[in-house]
Amino acid sequence: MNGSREGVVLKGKTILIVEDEMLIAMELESMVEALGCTVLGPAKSAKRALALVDRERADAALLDLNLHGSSDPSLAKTLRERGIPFAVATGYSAEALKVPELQNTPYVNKPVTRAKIAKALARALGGRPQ
Amino acid sequence: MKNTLAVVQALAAQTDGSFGSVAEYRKAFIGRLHALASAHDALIGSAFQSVDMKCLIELATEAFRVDHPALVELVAGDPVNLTARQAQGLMLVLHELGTNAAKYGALSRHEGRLHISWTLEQREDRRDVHLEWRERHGPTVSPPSEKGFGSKLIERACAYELDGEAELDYAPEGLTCRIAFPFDQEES
Repeated sequence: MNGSREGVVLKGKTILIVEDEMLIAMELESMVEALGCTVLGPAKSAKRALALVDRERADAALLDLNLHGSSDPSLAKTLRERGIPFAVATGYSAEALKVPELQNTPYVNKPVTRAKIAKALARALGGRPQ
Repeated sequence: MKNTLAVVQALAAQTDGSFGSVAEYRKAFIGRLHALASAHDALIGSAFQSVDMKCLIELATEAFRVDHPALVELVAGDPVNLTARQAQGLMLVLHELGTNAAKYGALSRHEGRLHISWTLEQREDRRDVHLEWRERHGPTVSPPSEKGFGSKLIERACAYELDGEAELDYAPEGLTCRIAFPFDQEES
């Protein structure tokens, strides 16, 4: 992975993780760390995520689409305003992502794999993986 | 349903590292899965609204108490109702502590004792639950050389699901785990 173009794009980046399920958050954290990134969070809510990006810089974010049963487009909007690109991890279909706030957002279907996350995050960061 | 599968995958992926055999891995994975399932069972009675903390602790320590009733002493404080999230988090924490105690701590010996108690403490405008898990008369304890998945899970579950903190004290005479979390849950 580290020799690939995705690996080069991702190495050393700080990634904010927002995921309300603790065990999934821990899994995402270890996957993102294995990609050579530093993890900011994980944050369990949009509110906590915003508090984190107020204090520290994130190069990109990985968001759970549906925090506590209601998707939170305000977080996506704020990240866009601050120029933090993001990818979405979701248990839902691509249809569910068809809201204006999530236009052209790279997404990963749950359950996730390290390779799927690498691809989506690299795309968010502007890399062009095959 | 899909999120449930993702949680199970996360649990399977995280249950790794220090296992010498497939049998050990399986035991650890099934144990954690069972802890999640039993929290689920405890919640069914209230339509997933709340669980009494005393009931949850009794459930988590049932296996040890059945074999050796004198091993576990539970001194209940004022009643604490846990939300579904808190109950699932605390169940995982108690499972990690119990597994560790049965392998290396006070629950690995007949003369060992596990003392569980809690108090409610007023802190400015809110009340905190202070839960203590104290092991004594087991093998001499020394701090682990590196942080394993179990202690990371305890820390995370307390922060994520209880909005609180856990402190693990590896004193030679026995492990003590102190958990503090807000009694009155607010939106986070």
